Amino acid sequence: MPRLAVEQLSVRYADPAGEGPVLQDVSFTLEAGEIGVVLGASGCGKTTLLNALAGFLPPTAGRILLDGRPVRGPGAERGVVLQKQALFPWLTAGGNVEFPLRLRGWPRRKRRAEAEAWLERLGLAGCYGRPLHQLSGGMCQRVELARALAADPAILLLDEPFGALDAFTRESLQILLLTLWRDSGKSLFFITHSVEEAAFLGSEVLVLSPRPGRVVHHAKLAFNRAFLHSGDVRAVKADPAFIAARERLLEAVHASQG
Amino acid sequence: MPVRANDPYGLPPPGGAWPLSLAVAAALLALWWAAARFGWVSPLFLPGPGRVWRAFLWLCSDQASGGGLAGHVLASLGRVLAGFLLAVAVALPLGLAMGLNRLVRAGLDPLLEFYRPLPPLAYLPLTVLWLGIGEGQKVLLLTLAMAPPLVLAARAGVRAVALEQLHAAYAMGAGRRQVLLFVVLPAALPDILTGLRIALGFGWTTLVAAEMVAAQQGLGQMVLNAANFLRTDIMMVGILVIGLIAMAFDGLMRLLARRLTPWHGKV
Ligand SMILES: Nc1ncnc2c1ncn2[C@@H]1O[C@H](COP(=O)(O)OP(=O)(O)OP(=O)(O)O)[C@@H](O)[C@H]1O
Ligand SMILES: [Mg+2]
Repeated sequence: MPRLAVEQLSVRYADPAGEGPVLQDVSFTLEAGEIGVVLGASGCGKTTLLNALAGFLPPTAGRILLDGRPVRGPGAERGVVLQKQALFPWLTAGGNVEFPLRLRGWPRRKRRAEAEAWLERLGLAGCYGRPLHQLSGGMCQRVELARALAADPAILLLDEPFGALDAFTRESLQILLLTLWRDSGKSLFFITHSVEEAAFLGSEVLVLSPRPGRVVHHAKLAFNRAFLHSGDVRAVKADPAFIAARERLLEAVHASQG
Repeated sequence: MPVRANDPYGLPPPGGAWPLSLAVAAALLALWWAAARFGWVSPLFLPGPGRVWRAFLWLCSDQASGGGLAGHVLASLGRVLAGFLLAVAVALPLGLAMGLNRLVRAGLDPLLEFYRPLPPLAYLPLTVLWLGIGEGQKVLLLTLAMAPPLVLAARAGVRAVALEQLHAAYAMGAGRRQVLLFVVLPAALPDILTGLRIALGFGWTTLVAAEMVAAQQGLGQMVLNAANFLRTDIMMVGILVIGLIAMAFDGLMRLLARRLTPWHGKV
């Protein structure tokens, strides 16, 4: 049974900006422990899809199944890192990371140790007590990742988490994400508008067309595992096979624009 | 030159310039002194600083009636604080409920909008009719005056939380109660603290009205009583003391806000 199955999903907003549904007949599956990537131009409905998967937005038609059970409303088994920053500024970096553990009633000392471990894994050792306004954008993004991972979801939904970062920080976080993926064995659902990011991270890459959002292209890739095997980003991203896959995705995006 | 980290470009600059504040205050004092010294204004209308100071000393001595100035201050302080606590206990939950629940909001909004702009002096006789001329009436009047800003602040505060923050909390498995407690309330705290500050100010604004009817003691009563005897100097002492106490409380509230919500406006 796939971890995530989306069947004939359509979403139509009550007060649409344009005409027609934002998503129409979107179907795909994602196996446990894989990275599904959705690639599409701005406004094609990526965030809408994530909101539906997370349970914030009821589908107009179709079904979303997590481990075979239909999704109704949000739940801790589907973690999110949203496109807009959603940290709690009244808490420190550590306070944010241990928030999901506080919800579960973990004792203070235990959840602090866990939060510190997560911060360290994300390269933020010693940041436990730092207020958020003293952290850079990239650091905040890592805190969000740490918080979502500390909640220990079955699948993590990420909406352009590195969209606002420079190329170097972005690549280092892609690498970090793959390492965390390998160590945790979690399923990831990753939204991006970067073709290279999609090709690098995705086990399955779906290209979404704009208005209505449909899956117009589907690719099975393995550059994520190739990287984890060799540990050499440059070699993977300069590999002719990677470049060819990237170009095919780019073509599909262009074709989807009509 | 080092950059001041707390001075983000584009934001109105925080803080003030206390030498300037002090200079303006000193200039006004000098003007006041000159007006009395050179007889520009009759002392009946504006007694000089010296005269007011002597009245202050006399009020502090044991010759003054009714426990002197300290007694007046304590009586007024007690009323304002009692009214404040009562207003907080009633208005904060009401405001939160209005922010959170559409039906509560629909039910209470017209009532609040009707009574909010009413001047306390207008319903003062009503409070006397209801509660007589004891302490209860005075505290009620103060409570009624302080409640609206608190309701509005709590109600607006509930809206201060970002949709993304709510979504993130629900996706971490938070229940509605937990979201309210751990997300909505902390996000509302800056607004609520501002509301508390404004409410306290309203309390001092309403003090004289509250002590109009049959008060034995209190700063407002002291000013009204002095007016009957044309003791302008005592009136001025009363006004200055009310102003200074209100200022001190405002400073305290600001300090509290800085301690409780140091993150506010920075992220
Ligand atoms: N709450 C809403 N009500 C009505 N229309 C909406 C709403 N949210 C999004 N839309 C519309 O749905 C379409 C898809 O929006 P969505 O946010 O899903 O795009 P996106 O692919 O995430 O874009 P981006 O890459 O810029 O984040 C847009 O045309 C947008 O105007
Ligand atoms: Mg989006």
